Amino acid sequence: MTLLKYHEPPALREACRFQPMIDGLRDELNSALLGKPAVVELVLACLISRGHLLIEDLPGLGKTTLAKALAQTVGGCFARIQCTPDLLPSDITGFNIFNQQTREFEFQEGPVFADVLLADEINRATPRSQSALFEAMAERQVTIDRQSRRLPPTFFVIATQNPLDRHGTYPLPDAQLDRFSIRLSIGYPDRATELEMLQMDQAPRAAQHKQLFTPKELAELQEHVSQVSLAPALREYLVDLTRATRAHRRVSCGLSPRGMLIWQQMAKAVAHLEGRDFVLPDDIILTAQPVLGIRLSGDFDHSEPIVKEVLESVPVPTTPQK
Amino acid sequence: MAATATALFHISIWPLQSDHLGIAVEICVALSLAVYGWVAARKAPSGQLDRKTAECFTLVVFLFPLLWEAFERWCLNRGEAFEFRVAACLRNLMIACLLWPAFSRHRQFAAACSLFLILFSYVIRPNPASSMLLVLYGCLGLAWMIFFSWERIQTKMAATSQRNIPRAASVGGLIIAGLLALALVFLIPVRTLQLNLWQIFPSSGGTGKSDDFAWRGVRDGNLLVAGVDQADTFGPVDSQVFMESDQPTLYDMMNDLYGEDSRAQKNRERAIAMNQKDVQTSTPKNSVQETATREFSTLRRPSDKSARSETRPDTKSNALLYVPGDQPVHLSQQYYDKWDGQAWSFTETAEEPPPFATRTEADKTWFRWDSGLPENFANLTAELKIKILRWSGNRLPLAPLTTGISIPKLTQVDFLRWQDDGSLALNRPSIPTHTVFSLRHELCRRSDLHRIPLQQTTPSQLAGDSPRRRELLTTWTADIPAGWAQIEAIVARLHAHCQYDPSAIIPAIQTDAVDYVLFENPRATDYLYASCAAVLLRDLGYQVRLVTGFYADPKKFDSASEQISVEPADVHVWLEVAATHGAWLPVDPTPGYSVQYAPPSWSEWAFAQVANLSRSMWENRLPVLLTTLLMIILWRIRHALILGITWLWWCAWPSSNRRRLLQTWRWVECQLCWAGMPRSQTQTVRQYVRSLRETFSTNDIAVLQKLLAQYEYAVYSGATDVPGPQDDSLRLCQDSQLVIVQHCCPWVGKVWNWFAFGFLLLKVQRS
Repeated sequence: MTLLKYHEPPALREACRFQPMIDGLRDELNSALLGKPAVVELVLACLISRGHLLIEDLPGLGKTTLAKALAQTVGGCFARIQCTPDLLPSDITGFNIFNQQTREFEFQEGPVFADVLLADEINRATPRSQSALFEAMAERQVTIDRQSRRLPPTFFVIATQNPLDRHGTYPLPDAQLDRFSIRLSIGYPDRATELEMLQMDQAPRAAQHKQLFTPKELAELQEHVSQVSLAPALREYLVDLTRATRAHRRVSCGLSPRGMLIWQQMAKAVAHLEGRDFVLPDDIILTAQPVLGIRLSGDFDHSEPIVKEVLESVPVPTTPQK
Repeated sequence: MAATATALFHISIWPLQSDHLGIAVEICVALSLAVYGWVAARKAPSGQLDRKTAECFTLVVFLFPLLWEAFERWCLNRGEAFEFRVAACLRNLMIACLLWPAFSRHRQFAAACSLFLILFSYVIRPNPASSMLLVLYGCLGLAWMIFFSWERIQTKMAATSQRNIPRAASVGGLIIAGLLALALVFLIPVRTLQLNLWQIFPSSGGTGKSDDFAWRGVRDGNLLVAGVDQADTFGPVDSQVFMESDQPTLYDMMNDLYGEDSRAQKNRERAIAMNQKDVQTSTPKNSVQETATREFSTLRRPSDKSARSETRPDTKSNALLYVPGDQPVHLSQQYYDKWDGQAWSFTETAEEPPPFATRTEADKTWFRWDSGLPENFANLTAELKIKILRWSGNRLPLAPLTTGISIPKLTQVDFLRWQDDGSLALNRPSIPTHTVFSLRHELCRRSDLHRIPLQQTTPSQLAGDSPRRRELLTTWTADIPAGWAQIEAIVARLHAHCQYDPSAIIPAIQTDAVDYVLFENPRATDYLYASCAAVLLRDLGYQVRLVTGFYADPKKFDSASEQISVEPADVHVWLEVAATHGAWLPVDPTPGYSVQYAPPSWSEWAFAQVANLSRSMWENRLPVLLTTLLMIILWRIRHALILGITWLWWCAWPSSNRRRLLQTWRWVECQLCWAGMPRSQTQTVRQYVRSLRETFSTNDIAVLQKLLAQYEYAVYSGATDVPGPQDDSLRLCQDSQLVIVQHCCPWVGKVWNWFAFGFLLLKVQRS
C-alpha cells in the first residue's frame, strides 16, 4: 500500500510565534551540552513551565556549563551564588544599609533579584541560607525587614549539587526539594560525543551564547504554555497518579498538591515543545520521573522502580470523557 | 446495591400488587425519579443543583406513597399494608439520595436504606431467587465497602505486608468466593432466617387483597399468628379455620366423636339449619355421587354449565380443596377395573385391603400402609398437605402410591375405612370443611419405571375382542420391548392419533367406545383417552385400572398463597398400571397432563440433557449443519465482514470525523487484541503503536501513526470535531482498517488488492 497524504491535525508548531526562539534555545543548549538532547528538552520544559531546576550529578558533567548557557540565552539579569557553608541569607536576598548622606536605610538587592539565578553546589550552603530561597522560589518574592519585595516574573533558579561528595554538605530538606520542578541527572556522554568534545577543544570556541529571549518574551511564552489544554480525562489521570504515589506502600511522603500542579505545568510544557496545544498521556509519563524523583521519599534509594510501579498502577485514559 | 434492593422489593410485592392503578402510579413515580436523575446529571458538571428544589422533590417522593395510601383508603375504599407503604417511602428516599450527588453522606444513607429494604423484602417472600439476590447484595455491599475504604486498607496492607498477591491467586480466590456465595444461597436456612427477621420487621397486618376490609392479617391476633406459624393453615385468609362459619369444623367433629366436649357441638352438627337453597343444591349431588360409585360410563350428555352448583355463602372461593406447592398431583377418588365396552365399573374382590400401622411423629398420628412399591424404586417419599374446602362425600383424595395419612386430632384407626374399590374413606358421611390432612406418597424416578416389573395377566379379560384393535396394537408396539416402554409407546401413539377435544361425545348407539375413538372419530377427552389406553394396555396383558379424581394443575399455582386450588373443573380421569408386589403406577395418557416423578439424579439429568440435545440436533441435522457451516464461514470472513459492514455503515450514516476516528481506533484495538496483540491498560496509544513497529511494515506503521495523530487530537484536544475534509478522514480510517485486516487475515488483503486492481482497470477503460 502506498502511503497517501492525509490531512494533518492542526498543530501548534507552525502557529506559535515563539517556536523559532525555542528552536534557537534548543540549539544553543545542545551545543553547550553535547549529546544530551533529552536533558535539554526537560530543561527547556522546566524553563517555560515557570519552574525551577535542580541538576544533580557528578562533578565535571556539565551542570554549571548548562546552567550558564541557559542563563545567557534566556537573557535578563543573571546572578550566580557559589554556595559555601559561610554563606548568609542576606548574601542571597540582600540587605538594608544606612546611607550616611540621605540618613536613610537603602536596600541593597541580593542576587535573588536576578532573572536567572544559578545556585552552584547548593547543598554546601547551610540550611539557614538554603531557607532564604523558600519564599523566593515558591512565591517569587522576598521579605526583608518586614517588607516584601517582588521578584521578576521570570525568576528562574538553577541549582546544582554533587550527590557523591557529602562531606561538609547539608542535604536539601523536602520543603526545599518540593519547590524545584524537576531534578535532572545529566550522566556521562557517549563515546562519539566525547570524541566530538575532544575535537572541539582543539579549537576553543567562545563560551558565550547569544541571547534569544527578553524577560518579557519569556513571560509571554510561559503564559502561552499555561494555556495548553489538558483533557478532563487526563486531569483525572493525573489526580489518580498523585493519589497512587500517596497510597504506595514504600512511599512515606507522596506527591503534594503543589507537586501535582507542577507536574501538570511540566506536561503542558513538554506538549508545547512537541508542537501541540493539548497534553497527551505520554507527556505526563515522560515528566513523571523528573517530577516525582525529587519528591517521593521512603525506604528506597532509587525512585525509578517506584515511579514505574505508580505509573503501572493507573490505567491510561484512552477514551474521551462523556 | 440500591438496584438489587429495589428489584427484590418489587419481586416480593409484585404478587400482592395486582391492581393496574397501583402499577400505573409506580410507573409514574419511577418516571419522575428518572426525570429528576436526568436533571441532576445535567446539573452535576456545574455542581449547582438547586438545593431547595432537590430537598422539596426528595420530600415529595418520600411522602408520596403515604399520601397515595390515604387517597386510596378514603376515596377508593381499599389500600395496602402500612409496612409496604413505608418500604416504598424508603425506596423513593434511597433513589432520590442517590440521584442527588451533592454529599457523600447521601450515598451512605442510601446504602443503609437499601439494607433495610432488602431485608424487609426478603422477609416478605423468602425463596431461592430472593436468597440469590440477598447474596448478590451482600457481595455488592462488601465490594462497596472495600472500594470506599481502599486507601485505608492499602495503608494497613503496606504496614503489614510487602508482597503482591499473584494474579492467578486473586482469580482463584474470586472464583472460590463466588462458589461459596452460590453455595450460601442454597445453605441459607430460609425459614429460620425469615422467623428471625420477622422479629425485626413488625408487620401491621393483612394486605386487604382477600377482603376489602380484612386488615387483620399476619401478626394481628393469636389465631392469625397461629395460622402463620403452623404449616397446616396454608390456605388464604378467607378459608382459614378461624373464620366465622356456620359449617362444623373437623375439630367439632373430633370432639363429637370422642366425646371430649360435646353437647353443644353435637347439637350444633345436628341442629344447624341450612337454608333451603343449600339443601336443594346439595341433595342431587349426593345422589349423583352414589351412582358414580357404582359405575363410570363413557356415554355422556353434553354438560350443562348453567346447572353448576353455586358457591357457599361463607367463602368466595370455588375451590374443592387446596394443595400446596406447584407440582402436578393426581388425587384419586374412585377406581374402576371392569370394562364392558361402554362403561367402567369395579368388581368387589375378596382381597384383603392393606392393614394400617399407626405411628406418632412430632405430635401427629400417621396411619401407614404399604403401597407395594419395592424399596429400591421408592426414590423419594413426599409429604403432601391437602385442605378440604367444599369436598362432598367421605372419600379421601389420595395421591398415587400413598403410604400414609395423618389427620389432626384423629388418633384412632377405626375412623378410616377402605372402600370396596380400593379407595380410602372417612368413617362418617362427609369430610368437614377446612380439614387439613397430610399424605405421604412415594415417588419413583421416571428412568426407574422401566426396571419395575409389571404384573401381567391374560389378555382375555375384556368383554369383547376386536381384531382391528389387535392389528393396531401390533403396529403400535412393534419392536418395542414389553414393560414400561410399551406403555409409553401406547401413550405417545394415542397423543399422535387422537385429538384432544373436551367436548368429545360417544354416540349412545356405539357399543365400543374405544373402537369408536380409535377407528372412527379420533377425538377424545380425558376419560376417553384413559379408556383407550387402559383397554389397549389390557390387550397387551397388563393389569390396569381406571381412576377418577382431580388433577392439581401446576398452571393454576397461585404464587401469593403458594398453593394450587383444585376446583370442580379439575375433575380428571387417568389410569394406573399394576406392578408386581401390588403397587399401582399412575399413567396419564391425556395430553397436557403430567405425572409427578422423583427428580432425576444429576447424572441422569445431565445424560437426559445431552440426549435431548443430541436428538434435537439429529432431528434438525440439516439446519444445524447449515448453521454450523455458516458460522464457520462467518468466522473465517469476520474481518472482511466487519470491514464491509463498517464501511457500509459509514456510507449510509455519515458521521463526524471525530466519531469515525474514535470508532476506527476502537476497532483497530479490538482486532489487534483478537490477533494476540492487546494493549496494556497502562500503555498509551502512542507506546502501543510504537510496539507494533516490529510486526507491521513501515508503510503500515506510517498509516497507523497518521491515524494515531488524528485519534490523539480527537481524544485529548478537547475539540468537538477533527478539522479536515471528510473524504480524507474516511480514507484514513478505511486504510487503517485495511492495514489491520491485511495483517490479521492476509487473504482478505489479496482479494481486496484484486478488487482494487479491477476497479483501476475499469477506471482506465472508461477514461
